[in-house]
Amino acid sequence: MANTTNTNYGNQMLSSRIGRGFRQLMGDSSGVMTFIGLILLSLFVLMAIFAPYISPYSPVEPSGAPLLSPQWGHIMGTTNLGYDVFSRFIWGSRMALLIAVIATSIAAFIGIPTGLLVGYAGGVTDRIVTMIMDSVYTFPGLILAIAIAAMLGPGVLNISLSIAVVYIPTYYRVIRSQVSTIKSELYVEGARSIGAKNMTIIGKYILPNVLPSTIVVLSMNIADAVMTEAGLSFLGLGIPPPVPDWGYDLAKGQQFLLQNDWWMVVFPGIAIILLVLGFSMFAEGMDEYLNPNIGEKR
Amino acid sequence: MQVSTKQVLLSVENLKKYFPLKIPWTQALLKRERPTVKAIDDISFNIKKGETLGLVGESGSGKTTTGRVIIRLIEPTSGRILFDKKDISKLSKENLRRARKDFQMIFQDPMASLNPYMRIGKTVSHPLEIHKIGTPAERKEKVLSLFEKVNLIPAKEFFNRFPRQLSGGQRQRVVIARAVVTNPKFIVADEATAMLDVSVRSQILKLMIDIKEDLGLTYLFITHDLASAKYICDRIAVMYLGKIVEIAKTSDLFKEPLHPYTRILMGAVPIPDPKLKRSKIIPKGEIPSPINVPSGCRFHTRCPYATKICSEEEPELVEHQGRLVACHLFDKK
Amino acid sequence: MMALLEIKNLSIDYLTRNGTVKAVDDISFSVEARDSIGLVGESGCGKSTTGTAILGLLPPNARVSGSILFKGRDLLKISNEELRKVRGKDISMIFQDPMTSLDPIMRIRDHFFELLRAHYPKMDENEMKKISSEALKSVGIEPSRLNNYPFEFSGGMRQRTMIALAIALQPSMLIADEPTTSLDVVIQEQILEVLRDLKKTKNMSMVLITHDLGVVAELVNKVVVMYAGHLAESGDVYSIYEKPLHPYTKALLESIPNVKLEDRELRYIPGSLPDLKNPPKGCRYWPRCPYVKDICKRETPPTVEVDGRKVKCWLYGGEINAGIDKTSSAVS
Repeated sequence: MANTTNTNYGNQMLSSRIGRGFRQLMGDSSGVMTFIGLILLSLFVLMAIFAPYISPYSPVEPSGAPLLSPQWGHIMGTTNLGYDVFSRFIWGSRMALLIAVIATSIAAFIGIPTGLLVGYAGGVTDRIVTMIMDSVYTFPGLILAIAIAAMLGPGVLNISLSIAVVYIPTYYRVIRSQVSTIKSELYVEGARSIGAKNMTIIGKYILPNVLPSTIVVLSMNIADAVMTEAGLSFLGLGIPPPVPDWGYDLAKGQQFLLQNDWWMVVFPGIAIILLVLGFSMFAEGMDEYLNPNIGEKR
Repeated sequence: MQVSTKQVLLSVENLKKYFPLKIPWTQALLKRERPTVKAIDDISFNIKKGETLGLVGESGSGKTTTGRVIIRLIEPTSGRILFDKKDISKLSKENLRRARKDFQMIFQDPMASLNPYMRIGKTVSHPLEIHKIGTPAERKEKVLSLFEKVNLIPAKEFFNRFPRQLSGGQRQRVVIARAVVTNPKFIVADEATAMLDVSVRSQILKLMIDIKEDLGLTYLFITHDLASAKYICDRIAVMYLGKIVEIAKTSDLFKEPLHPYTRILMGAVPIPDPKLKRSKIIPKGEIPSPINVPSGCRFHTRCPYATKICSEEEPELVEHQGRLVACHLFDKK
Repeated sequence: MMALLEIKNLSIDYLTRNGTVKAVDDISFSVEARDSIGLVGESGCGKSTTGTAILGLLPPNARVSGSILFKGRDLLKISNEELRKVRGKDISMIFQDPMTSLDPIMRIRDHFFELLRAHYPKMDENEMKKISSEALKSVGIEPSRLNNYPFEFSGGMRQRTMIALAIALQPSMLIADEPTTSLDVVIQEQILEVLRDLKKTKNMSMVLITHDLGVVAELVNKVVVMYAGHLAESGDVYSIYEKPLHPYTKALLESIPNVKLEDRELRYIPGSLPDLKNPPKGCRYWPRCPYVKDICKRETPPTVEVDGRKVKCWLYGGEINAGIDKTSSAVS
């Protein structure tokens, strides 16, 4: 079969655990799961793209009295500064997706080629690089991101970078372990026997075979990046206000929770949960779809 | 024709392949000599142009390693591999890569030897691309005509299929097509029919014979199946524990196997005839580990004819009645 | 007299995501006490599925119909607990791969003890030791090796151990699924010798599942030939090898390379095995059959008896061809 290597994407990624839980819950209907995930994702993506057109107010200017509870005109209420929570809900998806995508791209861009090359080369290089990657991997993700973010200072690119560093080892590990199995496959030996260059072998015989699992890691990773980003802004290490950001809103809203102004916390929280869920379900569904060796008997 | 058949295409001289064993470094410090697996232990043979030499033996005999070392998918420990009078074992990496279009390999498992993500048309034309032979249009034409030759018809339809859409027999046809697409002179076929179903096995064997005649190929046919070897091989070399124990013409070998091991191997093949009740010599035990090779003749631990000399002195591969055999029974000294 | 095992109209389908696989389609045969029968066919013919069905070990996506009568009891109808008691004690099975069938962290004796305890919870250790030693001895392994771990055994010895485990409780039937396929010829010969010996000394019938017609010829007295889920032909081994009735059996026998025969001409069956998700209509062999007629493509042939053998082919019987004399010459 095409991809029978049992991939473990690591338990470090919370999203992977969420997704797996859902898979158990839904049983065999992975198609439904992928579909729901996809719908959630497209909703958020559309929201991010068309934010200027669908948000009723500007997210960075007061649009009513402060701390209005959800009501007609402000369906999610207003913040302590009188910003419309619904508008910030919509605009927040931009920041969340943007940073998650940039961070994940950086991580993939570094992690995948490193995994490919090192896995293929093997030997001492492999042992050294794997040791470095493993030591990063064992570090608690959020704490590492906090440290780097504090060092680099605020800014979209800096935040992305600090999140990316956390996830490079994830790619590296998944890709490397797959490459080291695939490189001993007969078709790779076959490629060598027809005189293919190493780069050709990596590009045409190994990469296509690890790509499916890369897609899975990628979408799981974005989900985790969304959470990490929210975590960073929650701690005040993210994008400086007043740029709409769910993590920041969550932190702000927390201060007013005691006086029963729940809407400032609940809505950004729901946004984060739904987006993460969307990516996780999509990833897990894809995983099952791309590894069709479940329930099949030869 | 007469002249060309006598020409030697491949000549293997004193080939050895020892795999060092992995041991903990604490032990490595204490031991002067690292233990090795002697997969191939000093073998020599020739293959003439247009000939098919069978390499027969049990698993652990070193036959598969031999096939891979000859086309240098594995580096030999020592010895010479003269292909068309050039020593393959001395070629630089780049020269070896270029030379690969002249010798190809057919693998045992047709399920595993094709890239699952590459369409089979591309798989077969890839060697041409790698060696920069022809234009894209010419390559495609060549592949299509090859598909017809190996009976993957309609060729145009097969061209765009993926391996998973093919049956085992069809995949092996693809593997064969890929092996011959660069017009090689020599092909190592490693258990090419072992994984196939009985009714398909003979088909593929026939295809290999036909394509060999067609393209003037030379084969090294590695197999554990003496019955299949009988149909395709001109000569057969029997391997045991890294050594060749007998080389003979196929007809001679089947008429009268000389080496006791060959006899046992031949007697062990089940014959599809329930009436035949053979008296069989069933040897004791199993093939010993190639780490601790028995002294003297390697087969003496299992040989029903073993005498004292067999455990002391290693018999050489000597000529006996026009064939080569390594056994003290036939050693005139 | 009732047969020891009687399989009647057994059909097995596998439900998969990509459709239903008709692995076994309406087969019937019986095994008498002390019979040894060979269930022969190529991959996907349903021989292993049939074997696993007898022991009730089919995967959950299998759908079974028909009946499997063992000593008069329908194994398809009894509870799992009863079936568990049958396994190992009345019917036992050995599998193809001796390398993975033994638990690497259990000593050989623990394998035996586990089996014995499962069936006789009160048996004391001495008794268990005695039985295990006996079983090992009967397959040619020193009883002293009971304390070894599986990794200390070679492939051949592991398969012997599997056989010893299978016969330890003196079952009345042994099912051997490709017992020698992953072994070298010389080791295969040794294992066949063990099986031959057991057949003689133990009062046991045997079902040998294999693709190797050579192995079958050495070991069994009755043969069931299967093709793509259908039972092509069944009968005693001598007459089938001498004069195969079904065109598939004939072609298969001709196409196997034979070390003994002088002639070096290769015969083969054209075409390839059918896809069981979408098998050909009518007789499943017709796309490869040289004797194909129109009716073969339309209707599944009935199973008829010819010369004491059963064959499923339109060449024999049916409305279009009643005369046996005429037809048996058609194939030869």
